[in-house]
Amino acid sequence: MKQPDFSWTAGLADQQLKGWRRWWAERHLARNPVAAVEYREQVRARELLHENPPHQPVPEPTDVFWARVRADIEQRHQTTPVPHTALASWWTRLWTEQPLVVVSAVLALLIAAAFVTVAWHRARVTRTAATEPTAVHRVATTIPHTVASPFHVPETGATCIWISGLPWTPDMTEMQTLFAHLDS
Amino acid sequence: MPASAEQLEVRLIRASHELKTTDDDLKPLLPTLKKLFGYEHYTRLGNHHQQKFPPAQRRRLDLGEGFTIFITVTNSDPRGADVEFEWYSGKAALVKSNVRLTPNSPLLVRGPEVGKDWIILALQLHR
Repeated sequence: MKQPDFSWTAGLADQQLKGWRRWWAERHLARNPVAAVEYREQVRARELLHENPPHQPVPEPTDVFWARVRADIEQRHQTTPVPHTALASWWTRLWTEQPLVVVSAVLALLIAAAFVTVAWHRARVTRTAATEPTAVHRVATTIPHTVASPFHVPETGATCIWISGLPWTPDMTEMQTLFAHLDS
Repeated sequence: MPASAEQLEVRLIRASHELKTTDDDLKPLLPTLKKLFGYEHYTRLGNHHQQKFPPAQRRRLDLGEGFTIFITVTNSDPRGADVEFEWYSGKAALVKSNVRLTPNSPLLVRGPEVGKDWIILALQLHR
């Protein structure tokens, strides 16, 4: 079934129909309730549009816009307080009222730290030296058939060079006689 | 680093089963000597030297009983001293060595066996 065309109701609502067309439209509205409803909706829509016109703000100039943004930022910065801790307030007060006290205290701390560092370093060197065993870098024998073997004894902290192969003698006199004539 | 004069103690020690006691000045070393050589008692032999050795100077020490030692301190630092030594009995060089002596770590050289005894050379760095 073909839908009726009520587009003429918009023309009637806009008061664009004149003469016999207007007479015919009004007559049709009186006889056709569906058309009458359509007409009333058209009229209502126009009333709503008239009551709520579209808002078109005037664009502001660029410099005005940035000036407004800057002012807004400055206002926020001034109103936002910097949080102060109790320690920072105490330090600020002390620094402004007793600067010499602060400087002296800092210097004293630095000197004490230097002393502690030097003392610690010396103690560390001493400890290291105390625990480092004697080391044999090179050892050699010249008497034939003798050999020297170095070793460290951790339990005692001593280092030993063990010479093996030296000739045995029964007493010191024999030993001195032997070695006095022994070329190496 | 230029070497400084180091104080070294050099002595001969005789380890013997015939001894009844250990010399007083060797008692600090007694545990070490017993651990290394096994003898119960020790006595000092010959001449005892404790003196400063200037750097890079070869020094001859008469240890007595026909023993001599040549010592040269070649370098020293807070941790120890580098020492060259040659231990002689008569004309025979028993041992030649380069060592790094540190405090509290004696160097003991086991030398000739005489009868049932041993002759031991002891070097110690003192600071």
